[in-house]
Amino acid sequence: MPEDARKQIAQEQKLLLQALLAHGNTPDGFDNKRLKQAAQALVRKRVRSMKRANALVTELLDSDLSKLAVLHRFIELHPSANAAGPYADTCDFLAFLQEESGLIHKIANINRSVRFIIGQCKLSLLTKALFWF
Amino acid sequence: MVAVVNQNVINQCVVSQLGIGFRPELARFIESRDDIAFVEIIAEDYSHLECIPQALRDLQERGVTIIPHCLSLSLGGADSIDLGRVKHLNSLARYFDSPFVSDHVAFVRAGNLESGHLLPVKRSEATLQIIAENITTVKEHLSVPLVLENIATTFQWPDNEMGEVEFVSRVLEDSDCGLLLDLSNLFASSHNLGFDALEYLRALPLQRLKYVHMAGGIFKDKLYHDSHGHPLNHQSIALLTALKALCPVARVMLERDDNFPADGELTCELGAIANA
Repeated sequence: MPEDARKQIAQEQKLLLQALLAHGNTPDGFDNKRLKQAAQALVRKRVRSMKRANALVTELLDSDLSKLAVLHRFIELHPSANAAGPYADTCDFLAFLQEESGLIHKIANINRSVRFIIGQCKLSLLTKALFWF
Repeated sequence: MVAVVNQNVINQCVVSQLGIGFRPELARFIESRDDIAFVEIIAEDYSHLECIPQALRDLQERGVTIIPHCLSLSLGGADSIDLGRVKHLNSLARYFDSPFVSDHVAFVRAGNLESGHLLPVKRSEATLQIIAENITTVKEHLSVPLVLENIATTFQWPDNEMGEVEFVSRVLEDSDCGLLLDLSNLFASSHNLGFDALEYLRALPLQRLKYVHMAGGIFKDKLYHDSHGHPLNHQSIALLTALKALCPVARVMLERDDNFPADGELTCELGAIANA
């Protein structure tokens, strides 16, 4: 087959995948509603595949419902599944989760530090006020 | 005694070999059944031969046929075939001394995007040519025949040049491949796209039939989703009965990937398949 014809179909398939996975525009002629339903089904399928591929993911999602929201955020930010398969996809997700948890930990530490500084300032002001009175 | 032997011969002629998709969650159930003649494994689940569980080796020793089934060759994709995947599929076939391997008439990747699931291709002469070229490439690296499966879909491409059954038949004829007929996928697509499943069956080149998939699914927003995580529906069983009236069916298998039920439910479903 001529290379140009193959490239044309490759482009059409890419546009369809962008619509299904990455909020791309619905390509001309496709049923918009059906593509949206298919996009949702692909997310459900990806979650099921990941749970099946790695028991740790199932355990995490079953024990803490908030992790499911993190998984959906992961999929939103990584619309393409890992080409190496669902297990590799779960490894990416677990790394993402760890990074997010680390970030939350860091934010909590910053909050604590800020609260400590504010507390110190308040204490200092109180001491000064007591001194003047 | 003679009567018993005759009955056995009749049974062997009528009853297809029974199979099931091997999943670790089902290993104990499969081990307990002596009527399972074959199991199908997902090639992508065993990225290295060292990952193969003892339960599968035991089944092989028991004489159970093992068929590697692939989800990711993307035979309908316009991107070039990943030969690493083909070689891996072939290594599994050689390891298990499988009679054939299978994949789908579908695509799963384009550009840098991986869908994670099987998607329909545009049914055109140009796509037929791409699939034929892809299959030629794949066959060059396989030591066993390649068998092709019809997929379930909830949407289709605009401007298709032919119907689903004509397209699948042309793919099979052009590539000289065997058919893995998924009756639950057929029910799903016929319901979602609005075509007659029985007409589809009658139009297929059934002389190419190698084996049959059966799986459960669920209706959601008026569409039927082939989830592999719900009970087998009566429509798929009815299609199996119709298929058996049209041609000999050598092998039929049940697929269950999620919400694994109690052994009793699986036994009932296998019974329904055997007696369809």
